[in-house]
Amino acid sequence: MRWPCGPLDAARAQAVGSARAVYDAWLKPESLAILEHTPVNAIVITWAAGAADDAAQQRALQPLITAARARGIDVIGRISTGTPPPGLNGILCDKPGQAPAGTPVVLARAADALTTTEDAAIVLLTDCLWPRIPVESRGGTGDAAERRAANAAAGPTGAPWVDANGWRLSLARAKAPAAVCWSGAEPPEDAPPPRWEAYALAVADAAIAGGRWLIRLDAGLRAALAARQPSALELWKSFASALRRIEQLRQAGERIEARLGVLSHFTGEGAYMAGETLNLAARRHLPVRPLVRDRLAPDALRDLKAVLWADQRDSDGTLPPVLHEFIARGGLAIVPPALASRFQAKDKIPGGAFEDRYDLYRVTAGRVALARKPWMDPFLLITDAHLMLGRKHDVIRLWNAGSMNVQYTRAGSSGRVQLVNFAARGFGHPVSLWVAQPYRAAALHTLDAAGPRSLEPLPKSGGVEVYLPSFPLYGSIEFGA
Amino acid sequence: MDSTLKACNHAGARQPRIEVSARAGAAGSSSQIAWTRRAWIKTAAGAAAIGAAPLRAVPSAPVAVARCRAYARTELLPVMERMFDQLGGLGRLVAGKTVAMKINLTGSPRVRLAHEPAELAQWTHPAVIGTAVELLGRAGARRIRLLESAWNTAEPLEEYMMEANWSPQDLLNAASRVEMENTNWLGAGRKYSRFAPPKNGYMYPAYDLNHSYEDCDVFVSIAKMKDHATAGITLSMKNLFGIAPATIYGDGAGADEPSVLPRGGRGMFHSGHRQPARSSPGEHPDSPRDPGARVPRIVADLAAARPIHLAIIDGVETMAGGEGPWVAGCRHLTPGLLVAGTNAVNTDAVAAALMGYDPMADRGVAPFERCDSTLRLGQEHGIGTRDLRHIEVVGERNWRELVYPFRRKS
Repeated sequence: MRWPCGPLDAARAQAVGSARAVYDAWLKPESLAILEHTPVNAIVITWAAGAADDAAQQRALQPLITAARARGIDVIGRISTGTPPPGLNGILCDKPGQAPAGTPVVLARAADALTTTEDAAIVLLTDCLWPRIPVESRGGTGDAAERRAANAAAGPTGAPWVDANGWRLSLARAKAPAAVCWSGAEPPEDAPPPRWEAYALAVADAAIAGGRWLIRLDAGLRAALAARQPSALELWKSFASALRRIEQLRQAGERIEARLGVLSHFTGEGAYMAGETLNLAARRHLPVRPLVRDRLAPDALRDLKAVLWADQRDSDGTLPPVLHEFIARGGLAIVPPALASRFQAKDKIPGGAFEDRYDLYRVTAGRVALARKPWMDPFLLITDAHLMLGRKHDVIRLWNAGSMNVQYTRAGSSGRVQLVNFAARGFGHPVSLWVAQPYRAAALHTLDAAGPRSLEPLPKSGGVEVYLPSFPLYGSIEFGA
Repeated sequence: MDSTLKACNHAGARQPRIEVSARAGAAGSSSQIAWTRRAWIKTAAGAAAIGAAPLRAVPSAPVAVARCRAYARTELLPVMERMFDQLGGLGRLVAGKTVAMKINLTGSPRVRLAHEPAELAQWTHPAVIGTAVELLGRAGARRIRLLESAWNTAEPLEEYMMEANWSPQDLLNAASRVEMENTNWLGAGRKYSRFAPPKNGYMYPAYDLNHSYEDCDVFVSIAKMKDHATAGITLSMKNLFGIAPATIYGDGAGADEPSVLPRGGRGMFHSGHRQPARSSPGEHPDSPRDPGARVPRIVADLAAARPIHLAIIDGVETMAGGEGPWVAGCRHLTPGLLVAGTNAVNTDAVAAALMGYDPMADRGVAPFERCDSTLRLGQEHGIGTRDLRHIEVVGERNWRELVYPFRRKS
C-alpha cells in the first residue's frame, strides 16, 4: 500500500496547514492500525527524492518503520536518487541498478517499456489507468437503449468502453514471468471521491490478470481516515473486506485458456498496435495469450489455434522458428505484409470473407493469412483475427456482460472464470456464461457472500452454460469435472 | 425492377384472390391513381383518421395457423409440414428455385432477455429455420440462402450465429445447397440491387439492397411474433426492416458512396437525421419526421418493393413489450403458435389478431398507440388485405380461441 507521509511527501504535494497535518498523521505508528485484519503486508514510503528534505524524511520515518516491522509489515522505500539504506525490505525505483545486491526491487515501468532482460521481484506498472467506465456527455438520438447508453463512452466494439488494466498485467507477466506484477493505477484527484467499490474494482481489475493493485487512497480519504471519520472508517472496512475476499480466491498455477496468441516484442513502435490488440480482445471477451517474441517459453503456443504476429514494421522478413513449427502442426499464423515475399501464389487458397484484406496460403499442414496492407486499426485487426480463428474455437462466451471483463484460466481438469463488473454494482441485465468444456460442477464466489453458491451447468454446444445471479463488482466461477 | 418482377412471376405461390376491401368503395390499382406523394400521405392519414381506407383492390390468400408448444423436431416438423400443405404445398412455390430466406437476428448476439437465449425471445428460433429449410429442400428448392443483416458487422452469418451459441452447421446441413450471407453490406455482390416500391414509395423512391434479395426466385420472410417499440408489432413485414444495408442506411454509412463496412443501426430510418449515401435515392423531402410514421412506411415500402412469397411467423416462444431486450419492460412469453401464409399482410394481420390486437386498428389504438399501422400501409401499397373477414384462415378451425394476448390485462 502506498503510504504518503512525512515532510518529503508533504513538500512534494505542497501541502500546508490541515493538509500538511494529514501527512504528519500518516507518519505516526498508530496509523498502521487500519492494516489490522487486512491482507496488506507491505507499505511503500518515499525515502529519497534527491531533495533537501530527504534527511528529514528519513529521520521522521524511523518510528513508522519500526512499528511496521513489529506488525510484520514490510517497508519498501521509494527512491529517485541516492543509495538505499540498509533496513528497508526493498526499494521501489525505475533503475534496477540502484539497489545493492540482494535488495528486493520493485521496478517501476510502463508495460511497453518493460524489457525481458530486467530482473525484479516486483514490477509496478506506471501506465495503468484508474479502472472505470469513462463517462462522456453526449446526446442520444436513437432508440431507448441508445439514449440510456448515451452517457457512457462506447468504443468501436459497441460495448461500453472501460478503462481496464488486465491486458497490461497479463503482458507484464509474460515479459517478466518470475515477477509479481502490480497495477499502479491512481485514483483521479479531480473526480468525485471514489467509493469503496471503486477501490475494490482496482483490486479486482488487477487480480483477474494475476496481478495486484498497489493500494493508493485519494487525498480526501487519507485525510478522513486520519481524522477517524466514521464514514471513512466504514469505507475502509468495506474495502478491506473485499480485498480480503479477493485474496482468498486467488489461485496459483493457472494458465490463460485461449486459442489465439498475439506475438510481438510489445516494445517500441509496434507496442501500441500489439497492446491495443490485447486491450480490444478483452472487450470482445476473447481470451488471448500475449507471446513476447524474445521470451517465449517452449510450450507458450500450446493449445493455440492461431497466432497473430502484430509487429509489422520491424519484421526481418522471416518467420520465427516457433511460428514455423506452429504452422507445421496445423496452426494459423496471421502475419503482416512485410512477409509477402515468403509466400508463393501457387499456395494461395480461398480466403472467404477476408479476401479483401488478407491472402490465405496453405503452408505445410497449416495456413498463413497475409495482410495486404499494414494494419492501421487494432479493432479491425482483432475482429479479423477472431473471425479467422473462427468462433468455433471460442473458449468462452458471455451475454449481457457489456461492462465486464473476463479471464478464463485452467489448471488440470478444473477451470476458473473471473468476472469484473466495471459498473461496480449488481447487473443491469442477468448475465449468462458459456465455457467450451463439459464441466459437471460450477460454484460462484462473490464479494457479497462468505461461501460459494452452486450453479447448474447446462450442456450447450459442446460446453456448458451457467446463469449467473447478480453480484456486485467481482465474481469467480470455479468449474470442476 | 426486372428481377423483382421475375421473382413475382416465377414464384409458384397459389394465385392470390383479388378482393375489394370492405372499407373500400371501389377497386383500383394504386399504380393507376396519379396522386402526388404529398396528396397520398395526406389522404392516407386522413382516411385513417376517419376510419376509412383509400379505395383499392387488395389481394388475399389463405393463412395457416397452428398450435406448437415446443421447438422439438418431433413437434415442429409435422406441424410445419401440415401448415405448408394447407397453403397448397411448397413444391409449387419452390421446386427448382433459388429460395432466399430472411431470418430475424435483430440486435447483438450478446444480448439476452434475462437468461433467455435470443431464439427464445427476439430471434427466429433455429429449429423453425432449420425445419423450414428441410421442408423447402424436400420440396425441391434448388438452393436455399439464409439472409440477415447482422447488426453492426460484416462478419459471416455463421460466425454471428455462433456468438449466440447456435450451431450454423445444423442449418447448413438441413438441406442440400444451403448458404448464408450477411446482407448488411455489399457482401458477395458486385453492386447493390435497387428496389422500387409502388407509387414512388412512402419514404424513399427506391432502396438499394444486397444482391441476395435480387438473386433469388422465391423470397421467404421467417419472422418472430413480437411487439415493437416503434412500429407496434414486428412480424413478417417488419422483418424486412433488416434487409436495408447499414453501409447505405446505417449511422456510419458513407456520405457519397456506401461505406465498405456497416457501422451502427439504421438511425436515419427512425429519425431522418441524415440521408443515405448519395449513390442511393434520398428520402422524399416532405416525408414525416416522426419515427412512428417513418418506420411503418419504410417497412411497407420494403415489403412492397421486395415482395414476400412465403411468410412464416415463429410465435412458439417470444417476448412482449418490444422487439428486443433493450426495450425496457419487455418479458418472455410462450404463445405456442406458428403462422404462415403466402401474403405478408394477410399473414401479419392474422398474427396480430393472435397477439390480441385488432389488425384494423390504426394510430392511437393498440398496438399502434404511437405509430401508424404497417398493416394499413401495406394494404394501401396493394400487398394484401388486413381485414380478417377477407382472409381465409386454415389449419385451426377455432383459431380465435388460440389468441394469446401480448398485453397484460391491467
